[in-house]
Amino acid sequence: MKHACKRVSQLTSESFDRDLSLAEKLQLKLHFAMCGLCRNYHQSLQTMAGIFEQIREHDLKQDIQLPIEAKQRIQSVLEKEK
Amino acid sequence: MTDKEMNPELWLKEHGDYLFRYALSRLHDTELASDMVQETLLAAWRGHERFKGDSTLRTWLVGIMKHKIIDHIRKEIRHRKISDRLENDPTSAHFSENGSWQHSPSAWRDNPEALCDNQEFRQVLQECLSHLPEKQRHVFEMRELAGDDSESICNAYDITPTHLHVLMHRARLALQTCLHEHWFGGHSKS
Ligand SMILES: [Zn+2]
Repeated sequence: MKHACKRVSQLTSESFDRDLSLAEKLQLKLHFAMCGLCRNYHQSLQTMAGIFEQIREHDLKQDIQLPIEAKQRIQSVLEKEK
Repeated sequence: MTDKEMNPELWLKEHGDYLFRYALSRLHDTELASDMVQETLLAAWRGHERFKGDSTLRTWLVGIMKHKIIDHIRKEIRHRKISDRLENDPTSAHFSENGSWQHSPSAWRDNPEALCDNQEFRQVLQECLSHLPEKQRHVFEMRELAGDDSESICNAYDITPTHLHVLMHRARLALQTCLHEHWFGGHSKS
């Protein structure tokens, strides 16, 4: 196999963090066409990225508040500063 | 900024919770996150002439906090000397000598939204995250849970983009394997 799966798995991961070059994209495409395992891996990373995206959105909507004691402390620090 | 808006106590009231959530998702420590809110508001107040009004007040405050968090992480790393040696490659265990897979990754076709709401799955995910080496975990969480861009993460951890990609790759492969073992492969999901 021209592009071993080890190298392809690294590139697959990088495709989630940066724009791949045209050559790299082609390399992945060609490899995926003949390697079901790397296709599966890519698919699972896509699902993983989707899960984290959901968690991010979910956490943003959560009503976590600055603890009241901290709020009071900061309030008095700011008062002194004014 | 109008005179009425030029009031740090009002900033605390209107943006305090948001800033707190922002810090908490990156530092995972309530006390520390509260301190960050305090430092951010103090710095903003001391430098309020520098607020140009070409962004919203919240964006400006978040910008200040972002720097404070990066500074904090940098100090923390220097202080604790968190190691991140790249010499031995943990991904090697997943591949044979000619670079083909040692195990067979499965494709996951589950719905991310449903998984996110599934408490049992969230627990397994936490468990798998907790097995990652410290720096790998921090970098991975800053990227995937806090959603920061690569540049801020490289800045905070003082690493090159290449190094970041290696850490992300290792984390993903380890998580993929762990989640396969404990969830996607054969676990009853109903
Ligand atoms: Zn392959």
